[in-house]
Amino acid sequence: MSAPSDRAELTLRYESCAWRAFGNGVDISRCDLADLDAAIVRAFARHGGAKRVHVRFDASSLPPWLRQYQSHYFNYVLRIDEGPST
Amino acid sequence: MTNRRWTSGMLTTEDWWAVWVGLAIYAVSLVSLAGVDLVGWMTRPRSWEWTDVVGGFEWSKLLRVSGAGYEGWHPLGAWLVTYVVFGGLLSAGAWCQRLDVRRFALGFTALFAITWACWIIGSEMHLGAVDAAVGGGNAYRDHELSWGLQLGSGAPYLLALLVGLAIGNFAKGWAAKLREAAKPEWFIKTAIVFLGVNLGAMTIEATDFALDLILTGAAATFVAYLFFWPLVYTLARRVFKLKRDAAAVLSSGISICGVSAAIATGGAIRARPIIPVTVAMLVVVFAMIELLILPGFYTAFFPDQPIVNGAAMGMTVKTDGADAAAGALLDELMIARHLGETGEQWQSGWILSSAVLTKVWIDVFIGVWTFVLALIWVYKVDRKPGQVSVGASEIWFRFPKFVIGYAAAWLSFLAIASIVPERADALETGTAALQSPMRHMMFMLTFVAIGVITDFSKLKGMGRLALLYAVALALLIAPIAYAVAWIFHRGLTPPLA
Repeated sequence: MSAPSDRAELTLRYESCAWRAFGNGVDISRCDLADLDAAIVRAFARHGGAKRVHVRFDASSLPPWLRQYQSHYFNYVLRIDEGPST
Repeated sequence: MTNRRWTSGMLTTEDWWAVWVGLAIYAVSLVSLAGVDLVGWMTRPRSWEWTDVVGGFEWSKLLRVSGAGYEGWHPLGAWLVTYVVFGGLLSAGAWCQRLDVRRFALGFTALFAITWACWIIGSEMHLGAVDAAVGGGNAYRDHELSWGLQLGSGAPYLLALLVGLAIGNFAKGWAAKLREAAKPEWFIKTAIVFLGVNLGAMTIEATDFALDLILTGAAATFVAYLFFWPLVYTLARRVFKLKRDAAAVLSSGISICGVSAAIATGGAIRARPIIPVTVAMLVVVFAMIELLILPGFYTAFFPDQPIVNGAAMGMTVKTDGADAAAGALLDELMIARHLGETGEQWQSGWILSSAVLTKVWIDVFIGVWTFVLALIWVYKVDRKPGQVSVGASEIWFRFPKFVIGYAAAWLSFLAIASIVPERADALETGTAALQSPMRHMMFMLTFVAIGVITDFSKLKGMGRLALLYAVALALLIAPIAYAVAWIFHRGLTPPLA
């Protein structure tokens, strides 16, 4: 993982029936988004540093014809200090 | 392609490029305030009669320029300038959006040629001329027509739609090649920015009527939101037994603003993209069915409620392209019918504006609605408030940016006309090309493009979803939309031309 800071950013894509988050030295894939979130939280908690992980969906992983209707899917923030809720 | 800052996408999305193209041409047209017409080269078809043209062919019988200062130009030369200007601007936008510019330019050239062929053929008098006196003459009688469909200016729209659909469904290889340039949302949003200038001019002519339309449009939209979504969601969950995420996405797609709402809702509830993608395919096909049926239906059964029909269209037809196209078709068909029956000609554009204004309000609220939905999903459905949070910036990212161009064009036109009233005529003349032929051309491009991208065979295998869509549309959305529109707009008719 990269040098610790309070804030990290990950790019999220949906590829081959799985969610994939990458960036900041992290590259994790899970079929379920909640599982992916938990894995991200564990990865950042293990290495310390980032308290907030900004996850941004990469709209280029949507079909190109769809983007003319809406070019944003979703972004969200994961708080690391509270740990994964299972 | 992630959205990080509020400026994200300004140079890379169709939505923003509709603003840039629309406002750039509007800004150039404003040079008319200094007495110079820079957009009068814009070409428009003439109304023509085939025996007259066959008897002695001249391009000037089919085409003419918009501005008096360009009357010496050969019509084909002006038409080529029209192609170069729009082709150049849109190709520049395509380059910034990282589309394949070569494929885009080739596709646009084909779409442009098809569009103009439909526009010219659709302007033949047997298709459009109405048997009524207009401006002191009756073209139908003057040309001694033995028959006529009397579709008014709706004839080119219908022809463009049918040709586009034929390509999209019977020449799929060709449709695939055109797909890079077939961007109905981009075309229609640019047309809607031009429509903002129209609304400015119409507001000056009939201020109270325009304000009434705007405010009641907002109120009608609010009421529709309250009814549509919960009803369709309940139907999807209780009767069709859909899962929560599919029911939510489909409810937004059916009841709010189609594809953009389905994607926004899918994102808000963090659904797998396959769900909004599937719903989007369904919405595109159903929007086309609505576009084919509703303008004729409303014209036939409610000929004396033009504004109600327009607003109901705005609440019923999904996707901006299909709604504005349906509104434009309704506008022309209703004006032609009213003219034929009463000899009175309503001003063009009011019925269309009622459809577009209602849709714009619906679009504007989608960001807020999906933000609320995202909070409900995080705190009540997924129950992960401690770990996941959603920023208010999501509202901005989902805000339809073309609305900024629409409002900017409308308000700046009003401001200029108020600040320099002595130049109001120059303003009206200078923007005339924008208000009519340019706007109509972008609508025509939309009709062709929306047909090209609609493939009815995609309904195969969508049995339950398609049935839910049809039931919700026929039994909930269309009747409630009409009732709401009737409550707010009944009795309103456009000013006479």
